[in-house]
Amino acid sequence: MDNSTLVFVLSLGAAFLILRWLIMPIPQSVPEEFNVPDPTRRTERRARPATNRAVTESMIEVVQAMAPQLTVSQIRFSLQNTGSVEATINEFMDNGNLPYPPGESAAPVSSGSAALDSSAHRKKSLVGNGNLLDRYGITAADLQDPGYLAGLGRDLGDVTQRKKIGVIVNARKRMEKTLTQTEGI
Amino acid sequence: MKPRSTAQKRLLKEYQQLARDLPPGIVAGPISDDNLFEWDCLLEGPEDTPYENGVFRAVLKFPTDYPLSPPLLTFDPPLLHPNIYEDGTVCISILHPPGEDPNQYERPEERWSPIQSVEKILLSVVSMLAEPNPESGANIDACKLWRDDRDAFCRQVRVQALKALGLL
Repeated sequence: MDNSTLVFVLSLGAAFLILRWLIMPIPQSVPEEFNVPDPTRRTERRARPATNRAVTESMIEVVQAMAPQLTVSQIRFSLQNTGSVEATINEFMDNGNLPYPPGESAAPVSSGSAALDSSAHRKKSLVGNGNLLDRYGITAADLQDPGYLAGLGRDLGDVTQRKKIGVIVNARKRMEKTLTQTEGI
Repeated sequence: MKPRSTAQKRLLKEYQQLARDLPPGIVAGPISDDNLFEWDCLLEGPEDTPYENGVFRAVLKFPTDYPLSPPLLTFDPPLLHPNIYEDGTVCISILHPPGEDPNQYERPEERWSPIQSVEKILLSVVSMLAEPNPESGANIDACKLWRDDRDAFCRQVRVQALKALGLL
């Protein structure tokens, strides 16, 4: 064989090896921060018992944004197992819920209720008195006192609070007037 | 109180502006000094509407990524209105997250964007009280009542207004 042919074949082989090295897929041992769930690895991960992976607050927040009905401990437990936000969300999507950490059980509030947006707007708690006078601490004596609003300036440092009380007291006076007018008719 | 996040700085700025130059019939401000993310608002009912002479309290809850996401406005106690859910949550386009409407009903410019403000929200709510939009109703019973029996609707609203002012 000619010498130049030998050199050509060898350089071709070397070029092939270099190209192969360049286009080789990224090795599986990338740092955890890339977090790309690989289906082949996921099953292996789940089978392994809970190893405590670093779970940051931002990871919990991301999962919570997707599934607000889950408790923080549920999310943390799952993230510790999977080590990845994507894998935890996938698990939630598959099962509709996440397992509770050992020693903890479901809270009395059912987890499925928050799923329906429209039903979430159904009658919630109507706790609290709707009476604005009670809420803002305006007494019947205050309403009788003609200097009440003017006096508030000294007692109350908060300007907004003073304005709110002013709006309520004035509205009540107007409303009383309309009531007496309708009664008069 | 030292504002830290973008949301807190922006809320503080809006609060200062509102306190200086308040639209008539609207008072709003944080419930407590150490939490800027929850505001207490009082809205006077617009004239020539069933809500006239009434004062209605609403709570504005801001997300931590405000102004990227819109706040949530809830009337407490809930107010009878076609565009207010039974739990008091207000449903108007300016409070909907930015972007395209999945139902193609609202234009993107009508929805929330960081250039909107608390003042614009509250003004929109006052105009919503004056002109309900039963086409995109939130409270079906209120929609029906408003459309079919306006007198009964007005009576119920007036009862709510009287209760709020301690006259009933």
